[in-house]
Amino acid sequence: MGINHQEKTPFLFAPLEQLINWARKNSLWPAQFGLACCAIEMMATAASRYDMARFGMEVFRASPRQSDVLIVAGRVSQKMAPVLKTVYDQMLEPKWVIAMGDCASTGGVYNNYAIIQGVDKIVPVDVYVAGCPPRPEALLDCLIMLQKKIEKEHPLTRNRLHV
Amino acid sequence: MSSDKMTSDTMIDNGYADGIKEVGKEAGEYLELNLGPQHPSTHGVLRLKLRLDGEVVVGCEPIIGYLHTGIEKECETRTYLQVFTLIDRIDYLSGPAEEHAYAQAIESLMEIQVPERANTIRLILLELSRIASHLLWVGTSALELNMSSVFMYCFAQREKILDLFEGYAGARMFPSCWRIGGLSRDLNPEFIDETRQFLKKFPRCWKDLDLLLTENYVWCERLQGVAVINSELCKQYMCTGPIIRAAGIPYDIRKAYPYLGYETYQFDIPTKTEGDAYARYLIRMEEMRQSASLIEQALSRLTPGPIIVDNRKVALPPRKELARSMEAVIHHFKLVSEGIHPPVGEVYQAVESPRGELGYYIESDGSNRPYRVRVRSPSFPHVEVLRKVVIGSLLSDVVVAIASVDPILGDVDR
Amino acid sequence: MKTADTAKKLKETHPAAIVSEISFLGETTIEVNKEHLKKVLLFLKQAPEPGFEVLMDFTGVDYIHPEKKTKVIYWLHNPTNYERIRIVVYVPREGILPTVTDLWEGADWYERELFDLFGVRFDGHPDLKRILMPDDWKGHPLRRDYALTEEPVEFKHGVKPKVPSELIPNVK
Repeated sequence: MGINHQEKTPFLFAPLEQLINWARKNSLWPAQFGLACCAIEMMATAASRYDMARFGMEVFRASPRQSDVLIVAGRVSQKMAPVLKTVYDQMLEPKWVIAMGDCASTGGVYNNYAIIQGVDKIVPVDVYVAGCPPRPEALLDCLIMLQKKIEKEHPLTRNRLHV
Repeated sequence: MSSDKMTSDTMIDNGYADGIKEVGKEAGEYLELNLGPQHPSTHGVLRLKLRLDGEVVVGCEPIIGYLHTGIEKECETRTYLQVFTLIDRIDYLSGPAEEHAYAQAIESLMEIQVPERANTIRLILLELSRIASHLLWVGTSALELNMSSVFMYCFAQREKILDLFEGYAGARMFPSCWRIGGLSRDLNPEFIDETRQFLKKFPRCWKDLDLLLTENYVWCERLQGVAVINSELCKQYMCTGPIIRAAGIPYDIRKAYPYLGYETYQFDIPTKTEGDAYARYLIRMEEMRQSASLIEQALSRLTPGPIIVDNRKVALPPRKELARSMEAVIHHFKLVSEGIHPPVGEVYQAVESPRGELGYYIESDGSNRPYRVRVRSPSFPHVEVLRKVVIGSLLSDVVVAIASVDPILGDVDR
Repeated sequence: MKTADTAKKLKETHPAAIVSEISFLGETTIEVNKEHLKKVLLFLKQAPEPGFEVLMDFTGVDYIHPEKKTKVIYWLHNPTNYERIRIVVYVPREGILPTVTDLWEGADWYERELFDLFGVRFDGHPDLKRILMPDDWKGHPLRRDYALTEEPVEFKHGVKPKVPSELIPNVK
């Protein structure tokens, strides 16, 4: 339809939106969804050398109802796919999804009856991280990319960038 | 109640939950708790269906399959070299152990003699990955009991080992340099010095962990007497690794069926008799020290030499030869575009992974693809034995039991 | 006692059970009849001389040429002298084998895995249901006539989509 999102934001709300975006991007709480090898690198990112806490993300909530980001780290099998969808549905808006690693992005090394070829067949993904497993620096790079994406959102208008 | 035909009922009817006979309540008074696949304390995607009487576990059914990757089927459609990338990620904490077990099986099927230097480097990488795996186990087990500073200590140490792998192979977790007949690359010049640096500092860090945990009142109370697996249960459930050594049986593949020259190295196998989670913790700590001493011995034995077998039908020729010799080019082409052809037959080779006996059963039909690759994973029976061992304990002991058994769900589900 | 002696003793005590015996690379494989399977395993486990008290691995291999059958493999381990022996039995499709859960409790999940991935049924198993695939899955994945179900990899510029297993074809 060609509606430009930026024109829809009323003038007085722009700084408020910036404040909301700033608050959201600096305290993203990940939901723990570590499945396989990428989970180990996610733990290493949360450990002391590559510190995720400086981005506000060291609090891995066990319950999806208390978290903002779902980091799908690892290969998603046929039996796990409904569980992934349930956990995603249990998260409250606003929520984002990071597909960490090759197996979550596209099925990775495995191309067979048992692995879903890419988690975006089940949940909408915001950022993909490549690597098998991705280095902790790659995961941090993707977190910064997600933060930049959140900066550009318009939370006060009905149409958000992320459906 | 006969209308309550859930799986847990069949489980109890068939005598899985032995504790129920003593309690004598009606089925409606129990709490069915699902320790679901997405859970912070289950070491992966393990699902436990628990039947609780208050806090006491009365029935337990582990449900697996949430990480089933179809690796065994996919290996049947790849050449022998391509399989290395698939099996690396089965037991993702000790990729070198998986690769070595597979390479050892193919090498024994084709009766290839691996050169001495390659064997020594393989041993160093295997023992480094054993230390890394045990460090991660200590870290995550302590994290589940809410001791998160131990987690940070362990991961800081583990990063040093991953740096060594990265300097050697370029990849942190999976230095997949194993080839049939040897290794694909020789050690980088800094490896020996950096490993010696690591080994010099490691005893101090081990001592730190020891001081933090071994005499710690909370740790001892939570781990002693929990999840006792005795030797009879080990035989019934084919448990291996630290579990069987904690039950008093000194079974270690490195001593029972020596490979890579382990019979020429000096090391002990720690054993205990109690069979509880604390005994398994002590054994894993001791194994880390033994691994460090093995690496020290191996480093002093490194002699210059070839790192892959000379047989051009099995191993790629060195790059320098490709510019000069037409035959080398033809061999290279054949090996890359077609692969090796082992003789028809079947073989089973086992390796001591940090979890227990990791065995590969390979059946070959003479073509360039394996006919069947079967991974005898150590964690599969260990998760199975949980359903017997947690009955009668408290709910918080279930977390300790799962942690002490050290399952890797990639290994269980393949 | 050594595995070769075990094979001889087995031939003496259960002559009708053994179909063939192969010794390859130091491992002995004995093929037995389906009817005598349980007796042979009981003898190997309980008699103190062979004493193969531990079932270390329990798996299967599927064949479709010349006829469709599954080979079920019992890999037994003697904990005192570390000898190992392989007992093999062939089952046709929709065949039924006796369960060994009364000899080794841990064989429970292995039999469920064999049922799930190969379709071999076990008579007397407490709860035979799928273990690795979802409960409502149709088919048995590790059979040779079950397709790998690969998704072809797409390429740009009009290159035909390729399936990874066909990049390097099977060469006898």
